Amino acid sequence: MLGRPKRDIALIRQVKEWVYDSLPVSAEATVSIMELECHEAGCPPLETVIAVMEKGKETRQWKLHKPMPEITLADIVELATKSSPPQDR
Amino acid sequence: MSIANSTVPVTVLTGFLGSGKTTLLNRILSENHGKRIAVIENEFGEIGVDNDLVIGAEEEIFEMNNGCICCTVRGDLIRILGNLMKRRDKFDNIMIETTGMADPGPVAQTFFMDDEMREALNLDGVVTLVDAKHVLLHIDESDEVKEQIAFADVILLNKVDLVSSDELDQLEARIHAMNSAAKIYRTQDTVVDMDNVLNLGGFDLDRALEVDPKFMEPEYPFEWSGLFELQAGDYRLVLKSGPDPAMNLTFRSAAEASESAMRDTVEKAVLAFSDDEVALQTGAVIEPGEQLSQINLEGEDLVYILRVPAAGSYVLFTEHHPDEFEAFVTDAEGNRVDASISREYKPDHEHDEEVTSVGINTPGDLDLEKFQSWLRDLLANQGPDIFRMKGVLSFSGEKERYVFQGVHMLFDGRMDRPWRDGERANSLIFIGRNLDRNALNAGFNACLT
Repeated sequence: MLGRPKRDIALIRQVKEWVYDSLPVSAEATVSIMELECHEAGCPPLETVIAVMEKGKETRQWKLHKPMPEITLADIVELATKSSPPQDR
Repeated sequence: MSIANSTVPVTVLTGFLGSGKTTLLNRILSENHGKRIAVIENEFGEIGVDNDLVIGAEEEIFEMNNGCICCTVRGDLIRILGNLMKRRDKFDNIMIETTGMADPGPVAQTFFMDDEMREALNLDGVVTLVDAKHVLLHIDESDEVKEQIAFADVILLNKVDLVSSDELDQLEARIHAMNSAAKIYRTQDTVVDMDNVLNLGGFDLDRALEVDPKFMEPEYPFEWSGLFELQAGDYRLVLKSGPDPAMNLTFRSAAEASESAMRDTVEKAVLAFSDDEVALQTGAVIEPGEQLSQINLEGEDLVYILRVPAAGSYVLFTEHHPDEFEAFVTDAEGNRVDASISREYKPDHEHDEEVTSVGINTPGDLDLEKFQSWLRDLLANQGPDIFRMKGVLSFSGEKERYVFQGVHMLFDGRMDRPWRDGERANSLIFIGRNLDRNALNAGFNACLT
């Protein structure tokens, strides 16, 4: 059906906490998480976009090609090993 | 539902500097209306009420572009609201004040973009304060004023004591032409019943329909049509000069002399009115068909010839009401021939305003895949110009109504409740800049099964 699935707020907050703890993100930054439907060939139907917004800096974004409930701490830690967010705009 | 699980209604308050936002906020915070309200004010706010639920914000706007979705959001709000929700038991509603020059888009998009905001809060309504005395100085050149009006669920036309009732009527008509879904209240010193500002259910289309039952009625590029029963031969359309120098019309055949036959020609007439017009001078011949004729209405004794190839029923669609030009039809001998059926249409305001509303109200069921594909393409291409959209849809095979609302490229929707007998229909409205009414209608209709 049209529209994004409903998610437990505790789950969203957990993933946000992992981002603050594991990625190079200052406590003043805003972390935003959004599940998106993807219509590109070869992509899973739902992917999760992590955006980090900091005053005076360009928004940084990472994408995980899986729905939010499947994201683990290990996924976020692995993102940290990449020197910069993937530029898959 | 427990407090921990229920969403908090959020009201966004917009309006130009001096329109009365601070006065309204102070009243909301000090009046006894039984609601505990947390206020996020802009950093230049001047709220005079001492309250630990009043929080200053810095309007940090961030752009996001990830290929599928481009949007601008308020990063500071995500942070502030996230913290505020830890004190969820302390308040019932949240009100967010924006600066006078702010485009309400980033605030509204924040509630559709971030998943935590989407689950914990609901955008209950956008309330726009308009200074009735000074708005006309800005409305033509200020994108912010247009957007603040376009985004609104409620418009408080404030300082009405400073203008005449004629000026107010004109201003209200103009605002209504831009955003026909908003409820407009005339106020002095922002005195308004709090029930008209808080807990609006901005997403509730049933309520929007209560506001103005006509707002879903389609608007047409013509104001009048008349069905004539004519014999083969030439007839004369006689007019006098009037308020406009020219007028578009189309003349076409109908299957029979009935209201339903005239109605069947309306859609094609709308299409004809979207074509380029053929300019005609007095004395010109107009034959039935797809042509959009633009007849000159300057000068005395204006006569155009309606050439009828065979006896039958014919419909004349005119851009303006014929009475404005004292228009009538005669046969070749000068005997007056009246339309046996005529209808007046709600005028189309599109030519007046860059920002308009397009309502679609159509029976039938939608094919989910077709609709998804149409909406996706529409938002990808025209999302920046679509400020708001909301609707109730009937999907094929679904027993429940689907209700949705959106802001620019983002939207959210859900199944609502089962359809009642005889109720199934699709109602939606787009409010935006340079909207193509005919293309939106055609695109939507192509998604019906």
